[in-house]
Amino acid sequence: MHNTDQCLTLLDMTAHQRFSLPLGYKKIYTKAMSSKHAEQSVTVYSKKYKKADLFAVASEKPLSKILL
Amino acid sequence: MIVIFSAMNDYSTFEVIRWLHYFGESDVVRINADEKKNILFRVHGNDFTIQVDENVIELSEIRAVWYRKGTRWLEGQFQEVCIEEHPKLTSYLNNKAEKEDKKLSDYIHYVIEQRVPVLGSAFKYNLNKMITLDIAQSVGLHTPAFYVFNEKQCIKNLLKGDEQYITKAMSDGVYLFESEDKGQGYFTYTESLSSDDMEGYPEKLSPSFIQSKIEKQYEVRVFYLDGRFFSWAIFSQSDTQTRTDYRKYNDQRPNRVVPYVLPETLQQQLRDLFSKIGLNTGSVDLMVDSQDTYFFLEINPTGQFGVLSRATNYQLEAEIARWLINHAQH
Repeated sequence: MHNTDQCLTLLDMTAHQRFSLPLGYKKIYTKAMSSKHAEQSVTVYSKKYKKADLFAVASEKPLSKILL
Repeated sequence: MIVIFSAMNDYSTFEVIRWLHYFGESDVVRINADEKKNILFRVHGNDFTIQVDENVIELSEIRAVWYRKGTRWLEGQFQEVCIEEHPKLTSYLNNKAEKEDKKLSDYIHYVIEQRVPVLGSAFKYNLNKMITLDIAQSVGLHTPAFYVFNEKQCIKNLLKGDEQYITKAMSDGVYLFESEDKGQGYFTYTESLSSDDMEGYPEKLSPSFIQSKIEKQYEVRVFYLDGRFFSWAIFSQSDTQTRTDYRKYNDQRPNRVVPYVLPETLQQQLRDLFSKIGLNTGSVDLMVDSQDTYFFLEINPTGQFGVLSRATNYQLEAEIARWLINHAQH
């Protein structure tokens, strides 16, 4: 793999793999995803919570954990 | 109740829901397409009740809907079958199950869109770039010429001249997240294309999208919200990393981003375009060349806007929350 900058890395593919793809896919990059994505995985949630309750704890936990 | 169809890992949805709560709207249900859930259906003609895990959603209680991302939220409700010694039938039935899934979700979204104020669309979330370019031309927008070839010689002939070209996927390209454990994502971007890139390709290759490259002064990204425009200019042309695609963010030296006002004529053309497509929201990519000509590139109905919203202080998440509250039926 080749580093292109701190985040994006060009995925190594064989010539056959690369030439089988359309030109628009000639470079596929990988990127390490931050732990923030765990916080973003908010599931189905609801309902009837007061905003004061929400914002009191929202900075500490993902909302999903609070509301479910 | 406000219902948001979204996907896991979509942070903008999280922010909009926080704003909805802040504005006093506490009855919000988020349904992620890519999440396992237990769904119970009661569809009766053009009315329905759906229970998603513990949340009961009655059509009559839905006051507004935001189609943020993903409409395949029924996945998993039709169980896979395996009829031993009949592999072809097994494959056929499982394929049929997917079609049943799509028909059912299409119908539910049709009923919703008929009855409820909706931001976005379950049916227009994945536009065809080439069709959109054609409609854009019909409303008077300038668009870069594009080609689709699967013969190497045709591409080489095109690349012989002085004009420069880019290539990108005809669809959304690669935008894939691995599991959280692996902590990795895969992406493709718009890439420059030259004759050298064609070395090694067979004479016949997969059909590929090629477009004239606009020598940009700067690019403009527009978030369209039901007739309103929130635009920003991105000065990405001076950085080799972001010159062809600003989404290859330079974290060390970020592109300068400033709020931007679109000319009235362009605004009207874009309104006409959204109207013809049948969408009331989406992100528009434009480029401005050295002659100050605006070129329309594409609309992404479910594009990411969070980073640029924060950079320009547009607070788009709050604007979306306001739209949902203001349009919610009482």
